[in-house]
Amino acid sequence: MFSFLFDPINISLIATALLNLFLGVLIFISGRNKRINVVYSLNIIAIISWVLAMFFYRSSPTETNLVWCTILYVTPTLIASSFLYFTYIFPSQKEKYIWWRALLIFGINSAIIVMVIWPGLIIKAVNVRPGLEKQIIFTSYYWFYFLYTLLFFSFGFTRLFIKYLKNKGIERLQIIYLVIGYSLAANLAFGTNLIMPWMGYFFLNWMGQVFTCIMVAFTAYAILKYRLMDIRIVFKKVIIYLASAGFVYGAFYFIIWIYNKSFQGVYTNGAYLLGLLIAPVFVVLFIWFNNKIKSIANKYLFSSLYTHQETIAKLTDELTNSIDFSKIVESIVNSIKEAMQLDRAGILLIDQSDGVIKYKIAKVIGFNENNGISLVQDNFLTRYLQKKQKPLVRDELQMIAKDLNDARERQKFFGLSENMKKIEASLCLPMVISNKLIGIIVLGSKVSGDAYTSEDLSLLNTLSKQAAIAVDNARLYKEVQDFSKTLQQKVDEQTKEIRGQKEKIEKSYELEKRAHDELKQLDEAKTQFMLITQHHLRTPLSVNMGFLDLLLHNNYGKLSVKVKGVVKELSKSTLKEIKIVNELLNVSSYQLGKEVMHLEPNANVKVLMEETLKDLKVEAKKKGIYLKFKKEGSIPKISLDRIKFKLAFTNIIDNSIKYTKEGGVTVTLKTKGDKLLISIKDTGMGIPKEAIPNLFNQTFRRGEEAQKVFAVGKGIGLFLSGKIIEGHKGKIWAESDGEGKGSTFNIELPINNYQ
Amino acid sequence: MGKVKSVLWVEDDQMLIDLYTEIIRNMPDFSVEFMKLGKPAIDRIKEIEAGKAEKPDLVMLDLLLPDISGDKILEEIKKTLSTKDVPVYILTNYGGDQVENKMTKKLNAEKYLIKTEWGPTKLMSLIKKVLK
Repeated sequence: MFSFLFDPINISLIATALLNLFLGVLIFISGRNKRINVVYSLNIIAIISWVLAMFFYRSSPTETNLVWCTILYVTPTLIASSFLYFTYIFPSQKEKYIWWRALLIFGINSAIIVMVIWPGLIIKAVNVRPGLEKQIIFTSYYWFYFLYTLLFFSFGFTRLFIKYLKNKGIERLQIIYLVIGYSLAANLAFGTNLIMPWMGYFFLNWMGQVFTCIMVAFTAYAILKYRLMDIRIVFKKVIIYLASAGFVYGAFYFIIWIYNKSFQGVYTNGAYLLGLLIAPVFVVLFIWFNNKIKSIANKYLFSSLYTHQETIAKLTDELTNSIDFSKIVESIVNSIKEAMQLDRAGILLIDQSDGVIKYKIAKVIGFNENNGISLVQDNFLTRYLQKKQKPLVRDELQMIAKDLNDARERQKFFGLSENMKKIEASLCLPMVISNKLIGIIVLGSKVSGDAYTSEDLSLLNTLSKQAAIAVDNARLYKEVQDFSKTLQQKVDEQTKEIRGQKEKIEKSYELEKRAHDELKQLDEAKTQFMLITQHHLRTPLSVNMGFLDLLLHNNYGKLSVKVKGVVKELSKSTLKEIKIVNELLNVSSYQLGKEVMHLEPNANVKVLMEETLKDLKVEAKKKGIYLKFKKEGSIPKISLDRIKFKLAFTNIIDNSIKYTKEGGVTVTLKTKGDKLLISIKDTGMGIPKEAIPNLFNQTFRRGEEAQKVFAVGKGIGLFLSGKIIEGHKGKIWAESDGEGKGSTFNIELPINNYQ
Repeated sequence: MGKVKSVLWVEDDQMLIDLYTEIIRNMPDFSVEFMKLGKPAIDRIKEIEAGKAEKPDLVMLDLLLPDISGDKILEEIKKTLSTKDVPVYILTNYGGDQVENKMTKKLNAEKYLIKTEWGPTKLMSLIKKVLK
């Protein structure tokens, strides 16, 4: 009954059908919502129907021969029409008026189908010939059928060929494999199944069906190599399900076989009991087996595509949560390497300064660092990626190169391909920011040795875009950081310098201050020494003067006139000595320039002079001379050191009184411009002309000079007065017409001298 | 006759003490106590503050003393509550204008007298006038 199964032609037909079925199912499952996949699976269904129709036609009894023969000739029309329609949408659905064309194609197809089905119109009869293939009797309308098939296929191939010429890259390669596979199968089938039967040769009538295996083989190759219709995942799934189902089926029948052997039947009590024990063991075993199959499939067929979403989400999360440059680069390289299960991965970043494109290795895993740079040495890759902004697959590089006309350009592609091969890079992903290439992600091969699928590429494309943004941001951030670091460094340097200078200044200030302090201390010590010396000099003098005073005031009894005269002389000389001691100290302090004026504003010079003159008038009166004071005009208040000014003023008048025996002294106060003028005019002995210039200018720098001055005891008071007036920014000078003709001392004080 | 006025006189020079003693001798309404060092003067101020001694009506104070300088005594007098009203006359041969300024303006001494300018007669009439 099943003898036909052992016919080698039938077996090859069944195998062909299964092969086609496998391909059709794969293509359909992998893209059931893509028209291209649906149409191609329909085409394969038509092919399968045709193959099966041949199987049934060959195996059918005489009475159903005509029916199966009709089906055998209807199905190819479907193959032709679905193929032609497929050429409109493959490799991409860009054609306009596609519905119009579909309507036209399937309209013509329907017409042909009607013709085939119409009894006796094309197929007249089927004759069974023992030992030979069945004979079909065609009418002369067969050429209609022939023409339809020829035109549809020719038109389809022409269309594909035009597309082949127009397209580039992977699509072009997909087309060529499809065209070769399909046209080989179709042309051969044309000969064996259309032309030969027309001429009466039926012995190869079944070959056309088997020839479809050529098409399947080419398509499968294109699928594996060039991601044709993206069926790799499905391929894996199918294998997993088939293997799992095989395990379950095998296990089930193995157990039944055991039951039958041991219990003489499946449905016995013992078998139920054993079943209870076996079931959990089976479940555990099945899970283990399933996982094992999955992991094997993962290893060879690649699984991570399942986790595309996950990978993108994870990486996006990492990229958006970090601004750290090295971290970002690392997580990009790691995630891609892990997600794709690659042997190596790396990122090269463009360091574009001064218009020269330089690459820097940001991070590589698995690659030799020097190799990474060699890849981009000639900038060809850079220009290519900048232009295309699409992933570059090494496998496709050579295909692209082959199609190039320009020999030099071709050489470059070959060179790049060779270079990539050398460093074992399979894929280059451009990192593009606003149309500008900022870097390249270089990837090695998959651990499984598999090629990249178009899903892989679209995922990697997405990832590389995100990576580009993240890297660019991180780089900008880093630049800003580096900039601020540099700034900080500059600031630190400057601060250090300033601090150094400040320290220097402080040090020198400190030195100055110390010197000043030392000077001050020295001055202080000197002043103390002077004051103490003065004290010690004065004390015995005050004792002397005190006792003389007591004597004069008759504390020790009334003195005789003679003794009183002596005591008076003693008193006089003591007073003189006291005066010398006092002046000596004053001079020494002025001489050292340490005596400072304490100018007080708004001092009334007139009142001060009147006060001073009051004491001096007594003295003048004693001597029998006059002391007059004259004020001319209004006198403004000026800044004065009252005590010192009084001293200076007293000294000068004292001097005048001292050297005037007759007449007297006239003091005049007046304003002259912005100055106060005080003149002290006496009718005394006058000053020799040659002495005038030096009267106030003695410096006592030389000991002998000082010795002279002090020895005489003259001029010390005048010297002091000069210094004091100088301290008031004033001027003092003497005039005299000569000896015996009196002298005039002039003091000039600026009115606005308080600065 | 009013009560006897007491003067605390700080003076280290024996000759001057002799000189001043000479004139005071003729003034029965004054009791003068001389101190030749600064330390007993400070102690006295403390005793006065503690109520163990009578406060003087006038203090005559030399600035240059063998142990403690006169301005320290002046400071002590002026900062002690019970003695701060006592007039202090600086009688010294030490210093000039600046010292005078310091003593009278900063340390609140009532007068600053230079010994060479203030002979005993002149001085006594001043003291009499003040303590009247």
